Amino acid sequence: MSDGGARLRLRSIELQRFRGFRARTRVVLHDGINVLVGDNGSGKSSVCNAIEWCLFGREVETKGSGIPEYKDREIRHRSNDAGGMGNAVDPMDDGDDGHTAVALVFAGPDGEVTLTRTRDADAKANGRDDRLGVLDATGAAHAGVAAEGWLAAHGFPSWTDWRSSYCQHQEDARHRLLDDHSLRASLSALLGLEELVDLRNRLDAVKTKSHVKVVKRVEAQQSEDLLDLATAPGPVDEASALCARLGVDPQRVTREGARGDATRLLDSARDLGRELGLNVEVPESVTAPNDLAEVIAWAAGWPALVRSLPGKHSRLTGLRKTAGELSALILEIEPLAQQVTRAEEALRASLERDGDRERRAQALSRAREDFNRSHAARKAAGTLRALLKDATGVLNEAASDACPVCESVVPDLTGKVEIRLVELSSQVVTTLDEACDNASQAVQSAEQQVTALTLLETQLTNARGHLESKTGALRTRLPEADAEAVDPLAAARSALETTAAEIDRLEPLLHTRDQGLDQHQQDTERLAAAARYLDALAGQSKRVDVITLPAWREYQDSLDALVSLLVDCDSLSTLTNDLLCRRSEERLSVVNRNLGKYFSMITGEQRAAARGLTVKTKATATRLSYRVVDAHGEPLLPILNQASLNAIALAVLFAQAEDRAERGGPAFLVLDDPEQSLDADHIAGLARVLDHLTTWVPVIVALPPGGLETRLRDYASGSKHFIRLNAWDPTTGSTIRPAATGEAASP
Amino acid sequence: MDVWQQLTEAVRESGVRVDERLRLLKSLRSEEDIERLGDRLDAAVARLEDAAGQLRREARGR
Repeated sequence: MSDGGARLRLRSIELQRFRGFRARTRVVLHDGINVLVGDNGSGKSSVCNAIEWCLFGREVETKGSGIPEYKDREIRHRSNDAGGMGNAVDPMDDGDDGHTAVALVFAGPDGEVTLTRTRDADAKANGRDDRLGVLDATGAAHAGVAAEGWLAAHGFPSWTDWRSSYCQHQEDARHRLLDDHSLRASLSALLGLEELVDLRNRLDAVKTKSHVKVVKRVEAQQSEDLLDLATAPGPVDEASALCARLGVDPQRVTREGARGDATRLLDSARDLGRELGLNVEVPESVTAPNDLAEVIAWAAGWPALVRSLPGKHSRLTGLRKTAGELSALILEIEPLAQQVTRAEEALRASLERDGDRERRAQALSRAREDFNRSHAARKAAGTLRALLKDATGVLNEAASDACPVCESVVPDLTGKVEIRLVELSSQVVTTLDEACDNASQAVQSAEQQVTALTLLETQLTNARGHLESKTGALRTRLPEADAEAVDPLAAARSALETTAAEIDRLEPLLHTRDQGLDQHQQDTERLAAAARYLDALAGQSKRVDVITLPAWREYQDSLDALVSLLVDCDSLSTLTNDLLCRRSEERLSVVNRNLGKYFSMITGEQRAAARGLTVKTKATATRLSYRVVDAHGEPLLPILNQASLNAIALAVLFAQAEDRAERGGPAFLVLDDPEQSLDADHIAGLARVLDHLTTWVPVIVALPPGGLETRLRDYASGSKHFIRLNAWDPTTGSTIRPAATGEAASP
Repeated sequence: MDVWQQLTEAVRESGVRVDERLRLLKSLRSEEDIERLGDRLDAAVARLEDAAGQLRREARGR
């Protein structure tokens, strides 16, 4: 730390086009309390922000002064007027390029030191960064990195020191300390540990469990694969087992022997082809079996080729089909022929027995004539009977027993005549009826004989029709020479015999083919097994473990990369947590020295328990938690109201600021509306504390009128200066009211 | 000394994968960088899974 830094005191702030401020504005500061007084929106907080921006630049915007709602807040004033801005020596010097600028002027033992930060009007559009400049007491100008180096060398605060020991924004007071989570967040902010907490949280976020799980899963899978590979039988073992299964002694397998087997395999294939009358040749490339794989590949396809090509053996299929068809037709035709023969015999017998159709027709005709005559006689008998009846009537009318012929009297003559006449007529009728019935039967018999002849002729015609149909079909299947044979059935039987004989002749050839192909297939498999064994033997010396596979390197590299990244994240997380714990302990050792004192001053609580207020930490590998306890070690948070909690927040700042001031460096304290959420008693206490602080550090405090401002004006005993801001005006922006007489008076 | 300087020193003092960890530390200074680190981890996981799959295929192919 530089000695010079210890004596630097902030004397003025100059700002232009910074947030609400448009025109170049100079805020003069003094030792003691500098009170920026203004209504809401007047720009008093912007003055506090200007100090912060000048010291830390874009970092303030990206980090939002540690307050989320400040993040990416507009720094530049939104106006179009071109105000004067400076040059390298005096950035605040008027010009017309419209840039934003803030200058902090410090008084030191050797003279003034001016810090300036400027931003071009088109910086955002052109991606240009802010420019930091230092004009030291010797008149030397430092810019950019050199200026930052100069600040560090002269004890200017880091961002974390600034947040913990120099400045408290009004929003900080809003942090509630009521529960464990917000207490951690609030105290982390108050102790200037936010960045470390953020970093640790980020590392925890990226070091996701899923990534670790992926590594474990992939490694487990990989181990399984290695185990599979280690326990799997080798190629030689597998080929040897295959040879044994196929009856090949692997011990006797040699490459020369395999070539001999290949030659024999090809020879036997040729022989079989010739025997089957196949027109196929072994390709030239295969006939010299130096390459066993080529022979095996050809031989494997040979059986299918043989079965697909037409040869002697392939006639069998056609012959079997023909024989089947002929047999079926013969079996159908034979009963049909017998049926025709039977019909012919029946017709012949009928003709012989009952004569031909003409004769039967004549007999029928005669029978019908007989019948007609009988029928006429019968009718005549009817007439006779009627006559007899009439005669009987006459006799009855005569009523005489005397014979009309001889006139002799015959007792009951009429009765006897009547009886006799009836008997006679009955005999005649009976006789004629019988004759008529006989004639009728004769007609029927003659008709039946005619019908029977017709039926026999029809049956014969039908039987012959069926026979002819099947015979026609049979003729189409007969050899051409027999197609018109007189007896196609006999020709068919003959053809069937010939076909069967041909089948009998060819069947052994088919058997030979199938046997030959089976043998060929077995020989091929054996040759393939022998070749595989030979290849396995040849390749054994080249067998590779998994670690020599091409993919192994990439796998290992990617595993290493991921594991390394996770380990690095884990390591940084651990380092961050360690640093967080260390710094937390450091900060708390500072804070706890005076925390109780300031808390008691603000709250007016003078009991020993309040004065013994301390913050305790509890660190784990992944978390740092806090407890606020009284002098007896009892937790205080549950019994404190919000005002007292805010008092703790302010006490933490004051305790660190006091320590910071003791260690040297530029001395000032910035408080933006610290009375927020404090009650009247606490405001009075805060006024006492600020009065006390001015004994060793200048204070810049932004306040609304009344409240703490009144307290400070009326009761503070130290040096006090009031800088009043006008209400914000859309034309002029934020402006400082000229100091009234006595306003900046020292006691 | 700010936290980044202190962490940088802590990494250097650890003496393990110093360059890699310093690069990683540098890449953790903003939320955008954190997102990129997340993407980098996802890509590393994807690459590992691809490589493991390829290795399995090759091992079983033998």
